[in-house]
Amino acid sequence: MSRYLLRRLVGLIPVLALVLVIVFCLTRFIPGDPAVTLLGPGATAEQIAALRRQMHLDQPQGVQFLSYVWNLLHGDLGVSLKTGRPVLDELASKLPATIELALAALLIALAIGIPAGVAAARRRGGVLDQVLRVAALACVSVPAFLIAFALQGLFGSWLRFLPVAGRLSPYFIFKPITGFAVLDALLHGDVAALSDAIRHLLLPATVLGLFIAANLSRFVRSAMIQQLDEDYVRTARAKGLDERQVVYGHALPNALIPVLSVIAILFGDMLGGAILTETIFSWPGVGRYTLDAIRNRDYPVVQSATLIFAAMFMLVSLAIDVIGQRLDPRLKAPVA
Amino acid sequence: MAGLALPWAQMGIDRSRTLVVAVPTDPGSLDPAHNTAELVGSEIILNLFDTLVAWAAPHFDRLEGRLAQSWTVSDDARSFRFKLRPGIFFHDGEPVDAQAVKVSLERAGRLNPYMRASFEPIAAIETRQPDIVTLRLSRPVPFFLSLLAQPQAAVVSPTAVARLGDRFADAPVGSGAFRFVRKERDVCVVLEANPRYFRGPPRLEHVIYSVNANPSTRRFQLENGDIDVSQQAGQLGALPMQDMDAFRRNPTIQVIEAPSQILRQLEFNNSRASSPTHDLRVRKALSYAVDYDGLVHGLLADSVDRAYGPLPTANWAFDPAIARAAFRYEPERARALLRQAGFEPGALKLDIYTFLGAFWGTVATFLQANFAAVGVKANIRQVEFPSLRGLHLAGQFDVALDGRTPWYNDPDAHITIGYLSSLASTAMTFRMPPDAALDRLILDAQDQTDAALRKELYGRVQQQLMARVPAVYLFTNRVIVFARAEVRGLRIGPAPPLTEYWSVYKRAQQADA
Amino acid sequence: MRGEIVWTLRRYPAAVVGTSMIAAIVLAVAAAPLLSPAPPAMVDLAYRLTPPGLAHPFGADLFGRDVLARVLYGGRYTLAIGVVVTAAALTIGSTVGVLAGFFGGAFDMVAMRLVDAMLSFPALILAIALAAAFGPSLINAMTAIAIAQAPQFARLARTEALSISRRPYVEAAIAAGVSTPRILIAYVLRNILPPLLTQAPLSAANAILQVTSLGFLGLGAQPPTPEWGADIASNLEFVRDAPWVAAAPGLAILITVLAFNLIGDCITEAMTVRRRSPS
Repeated sequence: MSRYLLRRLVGLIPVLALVLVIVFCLTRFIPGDPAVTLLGPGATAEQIAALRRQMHLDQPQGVQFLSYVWNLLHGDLGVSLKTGRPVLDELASKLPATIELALAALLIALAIGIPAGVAAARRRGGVLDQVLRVAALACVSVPAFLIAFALQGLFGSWLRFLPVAGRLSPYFIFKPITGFAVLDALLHGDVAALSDAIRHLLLPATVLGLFIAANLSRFVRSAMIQQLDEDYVRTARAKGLDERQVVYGHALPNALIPVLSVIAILFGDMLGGAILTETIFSWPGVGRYTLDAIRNRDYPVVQSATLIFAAMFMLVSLAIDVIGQRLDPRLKAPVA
Repeated sequence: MAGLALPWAQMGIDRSRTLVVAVPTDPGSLDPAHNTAELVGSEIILNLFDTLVAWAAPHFDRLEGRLAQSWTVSDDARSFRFKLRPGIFFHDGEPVDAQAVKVSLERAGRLNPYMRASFEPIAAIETRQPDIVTLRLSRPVPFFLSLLAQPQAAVVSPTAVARLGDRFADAPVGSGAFRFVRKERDVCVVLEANPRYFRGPPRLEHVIYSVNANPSTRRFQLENGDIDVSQQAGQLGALPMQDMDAFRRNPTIQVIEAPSQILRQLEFNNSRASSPTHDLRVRKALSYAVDYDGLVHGLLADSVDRAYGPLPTANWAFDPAIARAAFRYEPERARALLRQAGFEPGALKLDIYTFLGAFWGTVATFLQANFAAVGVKANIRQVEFPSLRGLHLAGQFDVALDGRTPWYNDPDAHITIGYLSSLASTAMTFRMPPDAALDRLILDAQDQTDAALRKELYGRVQQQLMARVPAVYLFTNRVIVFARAEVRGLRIGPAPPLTEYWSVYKRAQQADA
Repeated sequence: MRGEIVWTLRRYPAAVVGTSMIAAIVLAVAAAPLLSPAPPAMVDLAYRLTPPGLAHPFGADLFGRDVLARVLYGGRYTLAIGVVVTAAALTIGSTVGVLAGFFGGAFDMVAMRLVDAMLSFPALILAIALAAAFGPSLINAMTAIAIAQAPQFARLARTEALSISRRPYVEAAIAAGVSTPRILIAYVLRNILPPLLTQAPLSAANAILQVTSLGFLGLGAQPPTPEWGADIASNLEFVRDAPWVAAAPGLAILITVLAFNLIGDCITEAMTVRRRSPS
């Protein structure tokens, strides 16, 4: 098992290297000078040139790329061209925010998607099935930013018990232990902070999770239908087992195995969706950080942040593959 | 919103003495020597630090001494002698003395690309006595005091600089009304009152800057009382007309408006001979094609004021004759001029470059429609700032919708860097073609020490520029602040438009004041 | 084949609904000049932000432009986006995938690593970077999304090409000396097209959403193009007081994308059923 794992991990490296090359080329092709953003409109050409020298931007691209890779291998992700702070520090403070959002979204997605899929599968072809299908498709047919604004409007104007932006109310001083607001509040034993963190998490997580939930329900539905058609289910029913026992005790666990691999892909979609969600809800995560970095031509940040995104996605896919294999030895070959 | 008050109290923070200010972007550096003229960081600097002099509220038409108790200016405007106010201390307890002023100004001139040009005339800073600072300039700069009022000229604690070095911006130490508490990137900046402030302690205990890029979110938060003030930077980049309307009808929220000197114009690439706008008739035609009233009163619903020329109406050197002689909406005349220049309807095609965002897009769209009505086909290219600047400096554009925010309250801020032909390609200027006579006039106006003569010279500069039509001057943004009704004492400076919170309080406090 | 389609459509009424929705949208946007009360770019400040009424059935936006007209004309762009981006992604992706699957070897390894790399990118970042690199315009946004979507088709095409090239009749053809291009076209392409095309509607739906998001960020269509995403973005600040300006294009996006998704969903289900039943 561990040799297989090692082999897979090693296999990730060329892909990550390719990601790096792609991002590097991409950022360098984008017109516009990061020194310009830093210095603003009134700066003169020589001031820009001086700053570029300071930021090592005057060296040939090949040299810049190699020095970036060299530093990367030593754990140095470079320095943000905008703030002058090490990218590693900034990412370390922002990554937990995005992961927290993603996990919360995933929880919501599972809580909605699985029951919906099971219900649709059990009443296959019926009215509930059709309604759920259209509802699911409608959820994935709306641009995320519209749902975000709609929810903001709903909770901003009428139901005012949920905050519409931010991660914590400004009067809470965030003392990070793990970097996850909810977890840290628990560890500090601070009930007020815990409730504040959860309340801020709900809206953005719902926006993200809704899409995953919709897709998930469709997959759970077809996986469940497949399972419910199997012989062992018929046998179990013939034996006189309670229907709920059959569905939730036998069919569902088996159905979730192929669904597992889908979650990996949906996770990837979620990382992409996080960018817009973080922007709209002012969530201080990596997505918003990356978007700003692209806007500011903050090359080291764009390179490192995209690398992190790609690495996260690949690791999650790998983890899901491994877990899937553990659960079902038949799935020997990697998915897709 | 009593439920929200409880956690504040648990943290030991009095909500009625805390001001939450929403800003649209994370501040740049909080170090005066590194802050390059962006509105959020500069405002925080203004509240953390003191300058030698500052514009006096409520009219901001004269300078008053802050760290300087009094000053004298030599007749040739080349020597400035400041007597420092005694008994002022930095937040770290060190005294504010002549040496601190010298260190701060030299540091800013050395490190800050903006201040380098402003402080370049400084030949020497003398600190023979601990409470006297004398600045000697290599040439007369009549508006030099205005330069010293900029946030970037604020006085920093030399001890803290020596101790923190590059990391001074992470824990800035000044002598201002508020002290720095903490900063979370992209989230907030927290300030607390400085009880030893020389003008007396502020009435607020805390000022919290909350970063929120979304205008509609800021509106919700303001209506809910989650924030107290939506700072002007938020409204400058947005289209606040509907919000203004809604808030005017809302008794819990006040709308504060003030004129500014922030100019918006459609610039021509004046040094590109191959450009279709090189022909003066074409530039005039485009100036006649714009429906100024529709833009200012209709589209932007009076959230802006009409601008007539290179200087905004709020500037003391503005020549009212310019307003009378300025272009009006005359589409027939536009079409005639275009035909004279050889462009039949539909023949002239232009790319209008501008910044991203709904504000610029909306103004550009309106201009596009105006131009279409006179037979000019305009494409809009909204690009990110670094790209736009790159194109601008390389001269690869014909027309750009751009703006100008003056950082000190003097006509020089608008004219010199923008229109001096010798500086044309060094920054985002109007790229004026070489014109020694005009350059001479501009520099003379810059150096003239007699106020009346100076105004007359700037009058001539404006006339000459108007004759050349280097841009279509559109409007100046109003400074618009949204605040909860109980917030009192907000004072917004002129150029740049920044707010000092020392005098601000919340009305509910009056009972115990 | 035709009988199968009819039977499929009968079993999946949702697909019928979806197809009729698309047909209705196509008709509506084709008839845009007839159905619009005013040209979509006509500025008339007197009607600034008018609510829906007789003169403007969907109301008017900040410039007094008719929202119904903008939705109808914008639909042309949206449909074009869906079709063109998907076609481009399909073409690029399947070309790479087929060649990789058929020839294998070093080309396969390199190509698939490239595909993996691009799939592990958040598509939006790639699209933003590309749109920023090429300059903001609708064409560039579409190119960016097409590039971002191509890897999925590449993967699919490769899998299919792999399985087909192992089939006995293909191996026989190769042994018989049939030229490679002919094999690729006559055998491989013809067989992989159906599975690829089943992906097409879903891909089109996704393409429209992505380009809309880019429009929302300002990196898509430039004014005064009535693209739905860009229209929503420029009017979101007024949505509290004038919801119709953003609601109309928003609903339009929902309906169009939903239609594509309905069709795609039914096709996917039909294919799954087909695969499961013994054949």
